[in-house]
Amino acid sequence: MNWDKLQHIDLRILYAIILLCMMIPMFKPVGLPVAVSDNSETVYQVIEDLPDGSVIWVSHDTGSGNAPELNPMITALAKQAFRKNCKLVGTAFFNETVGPTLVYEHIDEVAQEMGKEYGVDWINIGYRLNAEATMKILVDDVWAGAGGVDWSGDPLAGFPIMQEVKSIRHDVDLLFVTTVGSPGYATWMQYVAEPLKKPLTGGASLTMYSGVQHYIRSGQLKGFLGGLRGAAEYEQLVGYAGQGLAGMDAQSMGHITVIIFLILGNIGYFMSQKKGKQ
Amino acid sequence: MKRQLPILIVAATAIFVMAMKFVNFGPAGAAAIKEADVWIQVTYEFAFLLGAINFVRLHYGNVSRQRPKWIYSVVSLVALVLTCLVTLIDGVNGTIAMFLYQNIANRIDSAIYALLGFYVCSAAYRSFKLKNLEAGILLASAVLLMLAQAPIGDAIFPGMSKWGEWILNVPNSAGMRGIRLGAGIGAYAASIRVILGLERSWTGSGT
Repeated sequence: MNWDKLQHIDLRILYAIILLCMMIPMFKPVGLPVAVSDNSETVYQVIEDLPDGSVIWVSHDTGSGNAPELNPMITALAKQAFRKNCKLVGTAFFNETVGPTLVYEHIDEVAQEMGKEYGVDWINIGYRLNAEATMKILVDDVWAGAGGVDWSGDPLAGFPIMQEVKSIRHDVDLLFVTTVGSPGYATWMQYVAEPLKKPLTGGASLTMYSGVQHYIRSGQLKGFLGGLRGAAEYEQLVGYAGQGLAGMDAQSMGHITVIIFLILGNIGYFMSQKKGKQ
Repeated sequence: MKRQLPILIVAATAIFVMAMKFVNFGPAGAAAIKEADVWIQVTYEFAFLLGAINFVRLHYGNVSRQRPKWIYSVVSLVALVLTCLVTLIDGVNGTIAMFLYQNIANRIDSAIYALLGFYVCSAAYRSFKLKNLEAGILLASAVLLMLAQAPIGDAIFPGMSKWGEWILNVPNSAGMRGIRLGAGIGAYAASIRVILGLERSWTGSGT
């Protein structure tokens, strides 16, 4: 047998198999149970421990590529927060349209379902240029940092929630940040959470997740959700099945397929090495 | 003077911001820092303008000299002008501007990111070979974490996700701390060189 072939499978076949393996579970879900990690448990508990009616600052700092991993976190957060009658203030600094649109859509969907009103129970400030400088202004003056208007350009004075939220320093109880790069959790940590000693939690895309671990261990992040898996765990804790849990079977199949190809590639490598020695 | 002036401005600004940060100058200092934040925001907007000018110069040059693949520069210029016009007429959050952004820019972004997943798979397949001990550790960690990040890992090997957590929490954290500290010290060193005028590559005149 020509073992070397195992090392050089046509990439088109590899791509087709990966695509198929990830698509099939979307149509025929298996529903494997998802074990909850300590980090996801901490995120849930930090929000659960907030007094009812607290204000949570939600920054959906994502681009369109990572949005499918992070959107379910926003939906689950809205469900947990509104259940506790918490108020949500949304921003997005990573991308000028993706973040603000998605934070609006995902909170709005839950708000309508739970009878919460825009401007009273939640608001979307949206994107502002130069995250670092804006965050520093938001710390003491949310109205100035936001330029006096929400994402749609409506004056903040017209929204009852903004009578309660004048500054992050005095009026915000928790920061929940989703992150795919910079600006992201590190920016919030540097300019807002650390100077004000505000609890900071949220979630990161899986590619960034390894980079946040040491901040979780140091206590600078109060737990953190990692990718779609983290979102699925959080959904499970909040008690509903959303996009996170729905994507878990596809993720399982995708990962298993890659592992199988790794094994095949290595078998081919070893056998051809052995043959070469002989 | 053309070269010294930017270096002097950078040094003076950096020393001013550092002094305001580390020394308590009372309410006057706080007001000065607040003012500096506004200046940063304004400067940032100018940087965008500069970026746009450079972008136009580069692509206009490509088109006028008909450099290889100049047609892509035409597409870039048309996209820039069209987006600017639509946004100026329709507003930043206008229906057409949002439609263009969400249905062209964001879709392209999503597609490229999705393709990246396939490239990562093929790169892992082609390069993750058990050639030596280091490659073996890398391969074992990758497989373990892939299994740990998907429920199927726990289904095949119960407790796999806990092993994945341990890898992320202990060896990964240790490595990341080292990298972060190294990068932080490097950034300090680079900043001091810029403040002292020893590092001048940013002025376009070399070190």
